[in-house]
Amino acid sequence: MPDQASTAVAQNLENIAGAIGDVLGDASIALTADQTTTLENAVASLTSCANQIANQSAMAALNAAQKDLDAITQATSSANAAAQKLKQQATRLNSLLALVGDALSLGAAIISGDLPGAIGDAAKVAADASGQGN
Amino acid sequence: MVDGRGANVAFLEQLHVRRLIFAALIFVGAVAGCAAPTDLSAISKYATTTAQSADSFAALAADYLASCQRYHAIFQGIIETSAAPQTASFVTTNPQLEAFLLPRESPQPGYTTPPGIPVPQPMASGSLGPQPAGSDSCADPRTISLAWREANAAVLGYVQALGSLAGVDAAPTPNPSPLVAGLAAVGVSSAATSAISDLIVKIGSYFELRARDREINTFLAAVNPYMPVAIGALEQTDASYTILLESEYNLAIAKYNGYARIEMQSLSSKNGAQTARQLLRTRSTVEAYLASVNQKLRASADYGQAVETILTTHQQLYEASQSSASFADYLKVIQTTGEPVVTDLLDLAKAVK
Repeated sequence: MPDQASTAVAQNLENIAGAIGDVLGDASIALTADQTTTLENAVASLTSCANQIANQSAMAALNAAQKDLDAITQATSSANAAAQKLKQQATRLNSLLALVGDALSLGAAIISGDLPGAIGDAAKVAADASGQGN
Repeated sequence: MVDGRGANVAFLEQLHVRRLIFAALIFVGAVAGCAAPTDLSAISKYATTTAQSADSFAALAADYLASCQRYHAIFQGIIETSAAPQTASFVTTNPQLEAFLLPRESPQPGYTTPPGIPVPQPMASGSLGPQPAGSDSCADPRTISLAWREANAAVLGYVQALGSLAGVDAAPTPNPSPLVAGLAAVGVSSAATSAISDLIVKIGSYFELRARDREINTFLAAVNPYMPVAIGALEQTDASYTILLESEYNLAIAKYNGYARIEMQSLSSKNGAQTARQLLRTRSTVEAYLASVNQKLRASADYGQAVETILTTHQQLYEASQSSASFADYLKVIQTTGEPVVTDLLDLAKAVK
């Protein structure tokens, strides 16, 4: 029964251990050496038992969630890939704008007579865009 | 040539630009409502603070094993602390037990799971399970510690991916400058290029935001069936960790007080001062140790609150996504529900130091 209820049982064991500890810490209560050792051992036993219950509870919870955690990891991986794709799309849009802009500049250069320089610029932008597009 | 260019410019201006400006203004108006919200700081804070908490989460998971090891050391009568114990002097020839015992104060509240978290199913064969007898006494906590770390990584990865999709890792916004420069080069007026520039940014942003919202919706729907059980496991493990810390706390006090009682019973006039000095030093060490356990209990409580808030935030984001939410709706959820997690996580970071 390693579940939420068993954690409550473990918590109660801790409370009892604490109460026994109170006796050990109360100087007004006289205790023989044997009584002192008995109480110490009682605290040790109770806390040890609480620990075992807590461990079983944690293991059961983590085990039960394994498939869910794997599914989250897988969905996360897809989401990261999608985010990357969105960034690439934005980059490609900018490359396209640069190409169109350069084409217009080329047109203007043809009109103004500065063709060689404009072709050089256009080739550079196209090469850059091609690289980013990949 | 110049005259020819001027004629071309006039031609463009007359035939196209007015219509272009008009169309641009209409479209800009139409998509303006879909433009990106200007304040992304809430999402950025939520995602980055959560991602930065990986170290705190890992420290907590690692301490699950360390707590077991400390417990076994206490069982053997060894209490260690990195804090320097205070020095004390003893100035009476008639020491009383009361001066040395540690009154048990309740430990700092740790984390207890809220009602309603999913009940784990029985363990499948070949999965996590109790270690065989005779093995390492902290074998189970070792296994739990590693599994907890992995589970933390999965949940933190989810928040980080949400942040990436939301644009925290800023995607390049449409840059119309090259096109505008091209238009200017062919003589289009600055008013027209400005309108076209706006149009490009709005159109680009519109489609980018729609794609982003769609991806966020898909992601939220994909993880939604698994989040309650996953977060429930983190909460359950944290509640178990609190139990381990309380065990340490209770055993340390009981061991010390038992030791102090027996030492005082064997006190004689010959060794009285020496025993008393030793007890004072030990008591100081134990007090420092208990303070460190209390700090870990605070961290446990902060962690539990943080993962609870991550789940609540997720559930509200998912609900928003089911009602055709826009990015502005997501932002609202983060601002109202996700912000508290930042406080919890910052507290956690302080507590695990």
